[in-house]
Amino acid sequence: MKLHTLSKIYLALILTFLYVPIAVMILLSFNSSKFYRLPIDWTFKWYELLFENQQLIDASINSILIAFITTILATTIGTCAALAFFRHSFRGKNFLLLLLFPPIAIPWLIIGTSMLVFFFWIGIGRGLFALILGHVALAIPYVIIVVGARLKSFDKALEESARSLGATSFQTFWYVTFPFLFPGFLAASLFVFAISLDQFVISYFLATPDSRTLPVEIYTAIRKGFTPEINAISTIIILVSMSLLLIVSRYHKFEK
Amino acid sequence: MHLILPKKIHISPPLFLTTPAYLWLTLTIFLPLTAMLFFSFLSEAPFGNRDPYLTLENYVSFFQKDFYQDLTWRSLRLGLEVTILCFLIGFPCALVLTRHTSNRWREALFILVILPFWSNALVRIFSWTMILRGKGIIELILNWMNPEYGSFSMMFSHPAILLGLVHSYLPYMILTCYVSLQAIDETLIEAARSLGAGRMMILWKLIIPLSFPGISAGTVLIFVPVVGSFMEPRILGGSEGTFIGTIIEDQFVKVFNWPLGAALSFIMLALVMVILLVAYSISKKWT
Amino acid sequence: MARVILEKITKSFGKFRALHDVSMNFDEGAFHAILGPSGSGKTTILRIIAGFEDYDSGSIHVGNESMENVPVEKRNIGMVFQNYALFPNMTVKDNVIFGLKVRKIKGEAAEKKVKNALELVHMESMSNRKPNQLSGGQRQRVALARALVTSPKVLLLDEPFSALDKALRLEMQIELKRIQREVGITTIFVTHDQEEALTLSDRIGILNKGILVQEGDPKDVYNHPVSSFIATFLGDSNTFEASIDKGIIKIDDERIYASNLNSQIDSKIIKVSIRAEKIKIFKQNEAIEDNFENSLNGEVIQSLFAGKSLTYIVRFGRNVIKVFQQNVYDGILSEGTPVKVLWKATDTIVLKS
Repeated sequence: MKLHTLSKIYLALILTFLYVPIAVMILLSFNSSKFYRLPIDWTFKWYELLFENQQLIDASINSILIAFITTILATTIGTCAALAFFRHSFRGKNFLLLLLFPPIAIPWLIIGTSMLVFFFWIGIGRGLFALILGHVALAIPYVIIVVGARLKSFDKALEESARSLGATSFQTFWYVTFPFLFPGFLAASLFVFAISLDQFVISYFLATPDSRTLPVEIYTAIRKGFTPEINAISTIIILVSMSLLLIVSRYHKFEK
Repeated sequence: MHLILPKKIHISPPLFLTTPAYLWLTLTIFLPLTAMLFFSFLSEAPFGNRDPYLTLENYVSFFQKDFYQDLTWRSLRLGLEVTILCFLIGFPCALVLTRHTSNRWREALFILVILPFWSNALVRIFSWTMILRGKGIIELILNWMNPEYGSFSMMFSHPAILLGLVHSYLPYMILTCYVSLQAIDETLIEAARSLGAGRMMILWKLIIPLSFPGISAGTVLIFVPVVGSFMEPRILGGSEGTFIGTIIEDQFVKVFNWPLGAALSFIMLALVMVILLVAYSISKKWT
Repeated sequence: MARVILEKITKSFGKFRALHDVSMNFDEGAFHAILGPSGSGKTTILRIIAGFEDYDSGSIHVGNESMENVPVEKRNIGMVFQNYALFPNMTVKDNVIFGLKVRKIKGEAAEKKVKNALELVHMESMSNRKPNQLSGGQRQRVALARALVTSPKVLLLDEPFSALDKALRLEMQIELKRIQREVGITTIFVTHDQEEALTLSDRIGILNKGILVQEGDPKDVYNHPVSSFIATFLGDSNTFEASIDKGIIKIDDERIYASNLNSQIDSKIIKVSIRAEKIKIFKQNEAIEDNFENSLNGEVIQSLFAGKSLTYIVRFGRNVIKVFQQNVYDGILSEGTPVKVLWKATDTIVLKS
C-alpha cells in the first residue's frame, strides 16, 4: 500500500532529524581537531582530558546529585498529591489541582528570575539548596500527571477487598495499591530525573560559579569558547541515560 | 503516639497528603512571584545601601518604548511559529505511530522518538551550530556533492533559531498527540468507514477533533517555554536572536536592573495567560 | 434493498480456523439472525460481509455484485455496533447526517432524511444532544437511525443489545422488528442470545466452531434440531442415548415412542431429545385426561421456582429429566414427590448427531 510505505519513510525522516545532532555530537567527541575542523581525525584525547577538567566534572556531579535528590523528593510529594486528588472527590478539587500547575503554565524564565529575586531577599541566595528547591517545584506537576494517569485506571474494589480481608490501611497500600502504581511511579521518576538533568533556565539563574550544573557549565563554555571535552561528557551522559531508559523499558511497559 | 484532637476537628486525609506539595510551591512559586511583583514597582533593587521608592516607571517604559513592544510581539510570534511547526511535523508522526505501525515495533519506535529527550539540550543546540555554520557539516556535504559550491552558513538567522527550537520541542507534541490518538476507540473509525467515509474525512472530522486534548496539551507545553526562551536564540541567532527573553535575562544577569526585568516578566506572563485563556474559551466553544 | 449470498467462505486467523466453508443466503427484505456461542465465528462472518475482514476463499455477493476487493466505504451498508460507536464529538443530528455528508447530500434534502430517520426511532426531540447525554437505549436508537438514513442495501447488527438490561433489551427488540418491517431492509443480526434470535428473525442460521450447523425457519430449527448441539443450545432440552431394535426405542429399560422415526436408521444406538416445555408433570396417582404416548415414573429431586415458571428435575431410573412448566397450578411439587412425566410421541426428537 502506497500510504503505508510513505508513512514509514516519514517516520524514518523524523527519526533521522531527531538524531542528527546527537550523532554529530558523538562523532565530534572523537575528532582531534580542537577547532572542529572536518574531516574527522579519530582520537580519545578529549575523553582523557575530561578527567582533568575539574569544572566539568564538578558540574556533572552536581547535576547528577541534584537530579537524584530532586527525583526522590518530587516523586514522593507528587505521588502523595496525586493520591489525594485522584482517589477522593471533594469540593473545589479541580481548582485546587489547577493551583499545582503553574510550573508548566508559566515560562521558566519568569519562574527562575522570581526565585532568584525571592531567595536573595529572604537570604537563601543561590546555590545547591536553591537549585534543589527549584527543580523539585518544576517536577511536581509532571509527577502528578504521570502518576495520576495511572491512578485513574485503578479499581478501588481491589483495595476494598483487601480491607474486607482484614488488611490495615498501610498493608493495603503496600501490598495492593503500590504494586499497581509502581509503573507510573517508575515512569514519573525517570521523567523527573531527565527533566532535572536537562533543566537549564532555572539552574542558570540559581547557580553560583561553584555550584553549576552541567547545562549551565556548558552554556558558559559556549559563550566563552567551547572545548571539545564538552562533547565527550555529553556523549557519556546521553549514552548512559539512553541505556538506562532502554533497560528499564525492557522490564516495564509504558503503554497500557 | 496518639494525636488527641477535639471531636469537631476532622483532618481529612486527602488534604493532608497535598500539604507538602502546596507548601513547596508556595515557597518556590507563589511567594517568589509575589516578591517579583513587588520588585517590579521599585525604582531599583533594594539591596545594599540603596533606597528604592515605589514607581510605575518600569511598566511605563514598556509602553513608551516601541522596542519592547516589538520584541514582545516577536517572541509571541516565535512561540506561534514553533508550535505550529511542531504540530505540522509531530501530529502526522504520532498518527503514523498509532495507525501505521505493527504492535511489535510501536513501543520500540515510541521509545526511539522519546530518547533524544534525554540528551542535553545545550549540547544539541551546539551540535546544530556545528552543522549549520560556515565550514560546518552542511557546507561539507554540499561541497562534496558539488565541488564548486563554495561556502554555506545558516547560522545567526531566524530559520536557524526555528530549527533549534522545533528540534528541541518536537518530542513533546509527538508524545501528547500519541497518547491522545491511542485512546481513540477503533470501532468509531469502523463506524465511520461503514458509513462510507474516506480517509481524509475520518481524519478531519473524527481523528483530529478526538485528539484535541493531546494537541492542546502539546501546544501549551511548547508555546509557553518558547515565548520566554533565550538560550537557543542567543546561541543560534546572534544579533538576530533578540527576543523579550534575552532582554529579561540581560536585566538579571548583566545590567542588574531587576525591577525592569521583573516588570517585563510580568507583562510577558500576563500576555501568555491571556492568550491561554482566550485559546481555552475558544476551544470550549468548539467542542 | 438487496440479498446477500455467501458461498463457501473460509477464514483462518493464523492457525485458528474461524470459518469453514460457510454458505448462507440472506433473502431480500428479510430479518436474518446468525446465532452461535462465543468463538463460533458469527462476528467474523458479519465483519466479512461488512468488509472489515478479508476471507481466504469463497465469495460474497450483495445484490448481484461481487464484493471481492470492494472496500468497506464503497459497500453501502449500514452497521450497528455493540458499543454503539456514536461519534462523541458530534451531536445526534451530526452523527446521523454524517453518512449523508459523505454522499454529498446537503441542505433541505439532507435535513428531511435526518428528520425522518430520527422520527423512525423516536429520537427527533434529542437531535441537539451529545452521545454522553443519552442513555444506552437512546444511543442505540441513534446508531440505528445513523445506519439507516443512507438507505443502505443491507443492515448489519453486531450484538447490538447485549449491553442493555433485560427490560430495555426486550423493548429495543420489538422496536427493531417494527422498524425493519417498516423499512423492509435486508437485515443480518448477530447474537449469542437464542431467545433474541428466535423472537426477531424470519430465518435463523446457527454457527458452531466456524461451521454452519443448521439454517431455516426458527420454528423448524427449534422443533427439529439436527444435532444435539442445537437441541441443547436452543431452549432447554433433555438429550438421551437410547437403544433401538426393530423400531422399538428404549432409554435403559423404559420404552419411549417417537412418531417421526426414520425407518432407515441402521445403528443400534441413537440420540433422542425432548424439549423441557413439552413435558407435563403430575403426581403419580393423579388422573390425566389427555393422551400422552410417553409416560415415565420418577421422583422430584429439585424444584426451581422462577416466578413465571417452574423447572423440575426428575429422576427416573439412572437418568434425569428436566421439566419446564408455566406457573399455572397452585402448589409446587416438593422434592421427593413421586411423579410421572408425560409427553407426546410427536415431541420426541431423534437427532442425527
